[in-house]
Amino acid sequence: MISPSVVLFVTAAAVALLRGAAQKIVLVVGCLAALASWALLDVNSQWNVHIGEYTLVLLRVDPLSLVFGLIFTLVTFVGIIYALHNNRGLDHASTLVYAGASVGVIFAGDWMSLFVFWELMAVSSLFVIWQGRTERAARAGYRYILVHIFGGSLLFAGILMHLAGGGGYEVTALTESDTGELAFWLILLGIAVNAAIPPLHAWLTDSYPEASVTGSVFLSAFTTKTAVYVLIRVFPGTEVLVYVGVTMALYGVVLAVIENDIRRLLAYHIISQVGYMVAGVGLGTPLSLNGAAAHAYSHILYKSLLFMGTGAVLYATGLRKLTELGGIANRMKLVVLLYMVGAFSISGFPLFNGFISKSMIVSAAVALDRPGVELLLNIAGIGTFLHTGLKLPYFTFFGPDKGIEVRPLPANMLVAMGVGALLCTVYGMVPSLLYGLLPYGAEYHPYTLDHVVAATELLIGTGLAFWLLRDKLGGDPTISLDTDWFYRRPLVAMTEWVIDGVRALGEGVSALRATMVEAVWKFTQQPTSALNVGQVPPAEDDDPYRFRRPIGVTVFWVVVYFVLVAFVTLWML
Amino acid sequence: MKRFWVVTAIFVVVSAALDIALRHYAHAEFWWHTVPAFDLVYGFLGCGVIVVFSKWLGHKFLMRSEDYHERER
Repeated sequence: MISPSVVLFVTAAAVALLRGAAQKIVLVVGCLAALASWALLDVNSQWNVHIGEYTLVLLRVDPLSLVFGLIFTLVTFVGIIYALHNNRGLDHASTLVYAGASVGVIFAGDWMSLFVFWELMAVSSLFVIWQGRTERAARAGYRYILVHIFGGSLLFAGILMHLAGGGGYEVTALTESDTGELAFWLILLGIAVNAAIPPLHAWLTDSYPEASVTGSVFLSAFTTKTAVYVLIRVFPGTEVLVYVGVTMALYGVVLAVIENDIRRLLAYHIISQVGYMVAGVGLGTPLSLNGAAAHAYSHILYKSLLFMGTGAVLYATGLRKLTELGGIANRMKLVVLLYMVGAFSISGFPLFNGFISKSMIVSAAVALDRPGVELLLNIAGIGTFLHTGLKLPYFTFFGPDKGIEVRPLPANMLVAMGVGALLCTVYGMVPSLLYGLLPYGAEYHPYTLDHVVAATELLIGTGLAFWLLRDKLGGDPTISLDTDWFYRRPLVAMTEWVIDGVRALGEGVSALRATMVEAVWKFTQQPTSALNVGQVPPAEDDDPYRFRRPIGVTVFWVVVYFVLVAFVTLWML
Repeated sequence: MKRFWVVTAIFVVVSAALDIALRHYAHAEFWWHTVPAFDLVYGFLGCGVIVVFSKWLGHKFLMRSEDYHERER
């Protein structure tokens, strides 16, 4: 029994060293081996390492970690196929370390190993962002890692306080009685940074669109979903998460309306979709927790497909803005088709995989008699279809032909998109494939007449409104302020102010010191000169030693001093 | 254009008819689950509200020129 993350790390080391065909073969074989190692895991087994009093649980296999472990290794395989045309071994290596660290978090059974993999994930994902190799990517990467160091520190402080307060080393659910503890809230905040919960979310929409075409596929899958996993594991039924989740779902939708960059628009919908999962965790029933896990599973599949689609557009045209794109559908028919499968999935069309998981969370809210949650999540669903299903493809692919040049795509990109689209459809049509993996044993039937009719009506109503409003919906050539403004403007200004202030203070002190030296240096040369000013020798010969006594006088006084010291010492003995 | 409206009209009529004729409200938890074609209207109005509200918020407060963050470096 080998952890899939170990397989991914070994593959990463190998591809960093290899070139050419050997590199591609190792990439594919390594990802397949990771899937195989997942299949060979024994349910309810552990691999413990004892270090002193502490126990590291490096591999804890239970139903919850298994379902996340499968989707992570699966999307790694799909994403690697999509990136197969890239010849840079280090790009693949950083991607695989990122994937391996994410899988490591999933299977980590104790707080310390969870934290180590958590930080490794942050660092390796920074290199995935830097695969973009632009000035913008570099800057966004620096902001990204600073936010994640902040989040990681919160998490680590929380973990240390939890352990010091007598908490167990194993990662288990913190209960209601823990809510009075600071450790509870620190851990929750640390996780919230990675879950991109507003206002701690701006790192995501800032950095993901700046990554490379292939890198953003992986980014969209791992960081936020490991956070969802930890939330399910540690914070089930935490009431505040219901409100936070619903707010997130709507926040992403609202900001997506005014977004012009197609990959940033999708990034806002990651936040929105993770909102569903966070709300599911907060509701805390077996059905809603299953829904959160299932929605993470579906989301990884369709969101990676959507990022592959927009990545294909960027690769083929070099353009990423709604205002610049349009009229390329005839030259990218296959991409349009595969993208739309992802769009139908995220929008929750019956027969696609978003429908079978999103509806679980909404149904759980209805079962708990929470009408507000149902209505607001449905609004978020409307917004999702509006953007990813209607607005983005309409303005990217259709509309007037602007004569945009489209270069052909590598075959591997289309194959990966095909696999992603196939998975979205298969899980949508045969939900039992996914439901069989879910950990909390709640029965659910998505394909009832009620559900299908309601979902279809919602989508038709949205489509109708889009068609009437479509002239208002085109992108504007602008960017939107978000909470990153606070650390890109006031915080930078404040830092500069502090640095300038300290520098000015230093210069002032230095000038003062120079004045003081100028005023007193004469007296340090000859202290008695202050007493008999008139006898100071004239300075015309410019002799630096003019204040000094002759050497004989100095020696005489030194001898007198030592004799005195000697007498006093002898007398005291 | 005309074809679009015809198709949409057919969709609306058929789904509303299916809704009224076939939906059994055994699952109904809240009152709007028993209103025929409620989700159709909700989707339509919800979409309009999202667009109008977000555009208002964007134009009023959030949207800036594309070089906003680069300008003062």
